[in-house]
Amino acid sequence: MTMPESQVEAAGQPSRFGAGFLRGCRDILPILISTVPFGIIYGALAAQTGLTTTEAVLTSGLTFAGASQFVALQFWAHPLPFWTILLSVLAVNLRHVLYSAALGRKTGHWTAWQFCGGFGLLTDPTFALAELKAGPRLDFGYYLGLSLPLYVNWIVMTALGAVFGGFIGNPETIGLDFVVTAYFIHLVVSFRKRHSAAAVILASAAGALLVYLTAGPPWHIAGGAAAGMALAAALSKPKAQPA
Amino acid sequence: MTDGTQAVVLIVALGFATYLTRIGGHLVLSRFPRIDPRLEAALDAVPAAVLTAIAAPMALASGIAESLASAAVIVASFRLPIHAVLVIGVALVVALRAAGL
Repeated sequence: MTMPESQVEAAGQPSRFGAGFLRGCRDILPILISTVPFGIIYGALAAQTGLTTTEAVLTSGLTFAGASQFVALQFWAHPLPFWTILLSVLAVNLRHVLYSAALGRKTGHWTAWQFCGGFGLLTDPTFALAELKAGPRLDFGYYLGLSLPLYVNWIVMTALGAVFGGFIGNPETIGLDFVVTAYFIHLVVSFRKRHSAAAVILASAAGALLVYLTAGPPWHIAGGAAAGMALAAALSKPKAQPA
Repeated sequence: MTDGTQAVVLIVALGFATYLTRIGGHLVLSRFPRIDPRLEAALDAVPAAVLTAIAAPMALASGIAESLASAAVIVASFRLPIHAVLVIGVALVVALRAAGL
C-alpha cells in the first residue's frame, strides 16, 4: 500500500471491493450457466467410473480444471495407473503456466495471500475475461467475482451429478461415454487459431495412433504430445527477428 | 494402501500439481526477462497436442459408430457452440450404435 493512487482508492475500499466483486459476478454469469451441464456430467461419469461422491467433490474442489478431470476419469482403473493419470492431468493443465505468467504482470499490487488464493482459482474463462476487461491493474475484487462463483458452481454441480449419476444404468446406451470424446475434439478444434495448430494437431494424432497400435496405451499420450510439441518448437520463429 | 486411500492420495496429488501450474507461471516464468520462443511455442502447443493424443484413439480406434460421430463433431465444431456440438455427437453415436454399427 505504498502506491499513492491506491491510498486515494482506499477511502472507499470496502464498497469498491464489493462493486468490483459484483461486476465480476455479472461478467462470469453466462459462462457459469454454460458450465452447469459439464459439472453434472463430470459428477455422473465419476460415479459411473467408481469414484465416491466425496472423491468426485474432492477432485473438483482441489483440481477445478474440467478437461483434465475428464482425462483423469478416462484412465481411472484398478489398479490405479497413478503416474499415467498424474502426468496426463499435469500436461493438460500446463497451459495455466502461461496464463499465470501473463496475469502476474497485472497483479503486482496484490498481497501474497491474495496471490496464493486468487491464482489457485485460475481457469480458461477467468483468464480470458481478466485479460479482456482489466487494464494494467487487475482489481482483486473483480477477479474474485469472476472466479469464486465458477468454483462454487463447479463443486455443487459435481455433487449433484455424482449423486444422480449412481442411478444411470449403462452410460453407453445414452451415449454419455461419447460426451468426453466429443468435448475433447471440440476443444482441439477451438485451438485451431494458435500458431501452426493444424500441423501440431495432425502430428499429435499421427504420433498417438502409431504408438497406440504398437506400444499400446498409455504411451500414446506421451508419444502424441511429444510429436506435437516438437513440431511446434521446430516451426516457431524468434519474435525479435523481422520476418 | 487400500483402493480408497490410493484414490484420495492421487486426488490430492492432482490438485497439488494443478495448483503448481497456476502459481508457478508467475513465480518462475516471470523471473526470466525473455522466454525462449521455442519453449513458449512448445508450451503453447501442449493442451492441443495432449488432448489430440488422448482423443485420437477414442475417435479412430473404438468402432465405426464412434469414428463417424467424431467426424461429424469435427465439422460441427467449426460452426456451432459447444453444447450444440455435444448434443449432435451424442445423438449420432446413440443412433449409430442402435443401428448396429
